[in-house]
Amino acid sequence: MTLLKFIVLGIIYYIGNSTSFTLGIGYFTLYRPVFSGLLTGIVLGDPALGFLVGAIINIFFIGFKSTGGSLKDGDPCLAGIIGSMIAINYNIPAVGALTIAYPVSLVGIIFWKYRLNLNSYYVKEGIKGLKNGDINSIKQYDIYYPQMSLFIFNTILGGTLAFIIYKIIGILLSTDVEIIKYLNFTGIILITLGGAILSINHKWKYTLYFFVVFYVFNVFLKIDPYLIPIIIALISVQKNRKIKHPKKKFNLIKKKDLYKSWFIWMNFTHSCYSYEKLQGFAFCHSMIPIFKRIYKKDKEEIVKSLVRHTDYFNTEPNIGTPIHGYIIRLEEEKRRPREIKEVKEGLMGIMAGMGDSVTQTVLSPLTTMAVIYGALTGEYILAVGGALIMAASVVYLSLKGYLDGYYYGEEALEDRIKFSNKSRIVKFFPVFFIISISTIIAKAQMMSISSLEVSNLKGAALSLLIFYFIFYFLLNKKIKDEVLLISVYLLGFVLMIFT
Amino acid sequence: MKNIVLARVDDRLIHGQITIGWLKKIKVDSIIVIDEELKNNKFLNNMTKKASPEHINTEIFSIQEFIDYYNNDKYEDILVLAKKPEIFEKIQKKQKIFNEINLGNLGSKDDSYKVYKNISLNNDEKDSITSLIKNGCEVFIQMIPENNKVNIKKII
Repeated sequence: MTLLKFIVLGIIYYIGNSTSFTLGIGYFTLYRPVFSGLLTGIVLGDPALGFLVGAIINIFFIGFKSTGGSLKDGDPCLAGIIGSMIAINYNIPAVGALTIAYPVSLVGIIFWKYRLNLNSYYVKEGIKGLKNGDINSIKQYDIYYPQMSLFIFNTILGGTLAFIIYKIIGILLSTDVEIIKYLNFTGIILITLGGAILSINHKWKYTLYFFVVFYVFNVFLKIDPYLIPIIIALISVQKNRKIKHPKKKFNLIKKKDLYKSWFIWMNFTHSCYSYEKLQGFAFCHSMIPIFKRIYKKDKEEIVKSLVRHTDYFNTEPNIGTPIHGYIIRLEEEKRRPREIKEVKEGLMGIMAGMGDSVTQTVLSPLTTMAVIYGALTGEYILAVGGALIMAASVVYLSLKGYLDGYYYGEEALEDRIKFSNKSRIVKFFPVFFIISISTIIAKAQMMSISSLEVSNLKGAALSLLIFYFIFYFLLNKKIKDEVLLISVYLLGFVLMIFT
Repeated sequence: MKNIVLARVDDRLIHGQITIGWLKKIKVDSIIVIDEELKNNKFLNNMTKKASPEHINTEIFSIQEFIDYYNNDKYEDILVLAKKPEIFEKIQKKQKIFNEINLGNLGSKDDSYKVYKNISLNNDEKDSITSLIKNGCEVFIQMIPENNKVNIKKII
């Protein structure tokens, strides 16, 4: 590994973590281990292996969600990079790489807190500049400074972390300890635990039965990899209802302005994400083309209006966009600031609560699972399909929201609520999820066990169900995830010694 | 009688941290939002109710309505939400209902200063919290169930 490669790994860490400049798609793709693993693989000359390792690690992060500045699991992107690097350099099986990558990814939580605090400073300075009449200060403090510091810090920290892990593993491997055996055993049990945690988090009446049935099914039978995803896709497809309401005609605002505003919003929602304002500064940023159109050359009025929109704001960035369209409409109609503020504040929570339970909870896990499954089976078309569906959903939902919000106002917002309450994909999600996850885990375990030189592959895969039951039972008894995670790392030693 | 599973101050009332954070860990029959403005805004009122999570009933009350509801006979596990600590303070002064208040999110305003990651308070809010503590109520900061509880006494 040359210095340059560590730097490039650091840059991948920046790209995944930034999620800016990607129209909001990066958060659901580049930030996830399966993609950061793939990118790492490309840099290190083995994309297929990087993708596979990323996929195995991603199983552990399928339940990953972040709401309003909360980050509780490790950093998924970092896990993919570290795991993929270790596997490619030292020929460690993917499942063993997971054992190393997961604890390292927890370091990412510290970076995250630090980043949100640094951004608080930038937001404050940005707003100060704006209040002094400098509109460009928004761009400076929403994009340039936070992205530049993130680039520098993540490149250095990610690169250094990769280097340290690279060295440590190198030293460990040169000793007589059967380190790879330990990593593999622990990794396999970790995936089983991951399956149990996901089952408990998506618990319904038949979770346990469905998991076991589909797991056993996949161990013994060869199912066409496209079968389950296609069935899920077919059930989920629904015709889009048209809003039956007169459409507002463009008056002052032009369609072009909505596109511009949407483009800024989607690229920079989290560029300068801070604890005090969350997406507040990004909202203000997205209003620049709007106020420039409404108030033309009247700079004072533009600044005054922008300052009004620097308040605390946070919503689900894709589903929540009818808020933007509606606010733009109200601004064009020159409604009272007090009224606009009330609408904005009243809607952000509602759309966040509902939006998060669609995109982060349903769409993202399903499409990511398609990508993972594609990586595990080598059916790359499936993987590309999963990624494309996610990307298309983000763009479509957010842009449609922007336009509908403007055209139909309140109707558009009500329509979004109906959309989530009525959509079949949300309704059937628990079933889809359990079937998919048990299929993926069975596939991953068969692959992992084959690296252990076990004679009876299927028997070994089935015996893992015992661990699954134990974990499921303990989690059901409210034993904490953390306790079980630490136990698995200890259990790995026991298994290593007695086999 | 009602069993208050969680009473929380949050600028954004029901949002992602509630729907995909708290409600995955706690079981409630109803979410009660105490907010006069929201109650009187027909559109937002309607939206809040429609967007409420499946199988959970959402009601929007004024302070007095909440107290009446709290004291009626029907037993329910409830989650109570309000935007400001002041709301809870007013209720607590009338009837000691809450043992514990959770501070979820209070974003920054012009006259507020940051006391914790996601919590900014102005003087009025700080006074309300102090008064709540005096009235026998513990006040904790905890964004999502996975975070540790931080007692506000240690901070202000």
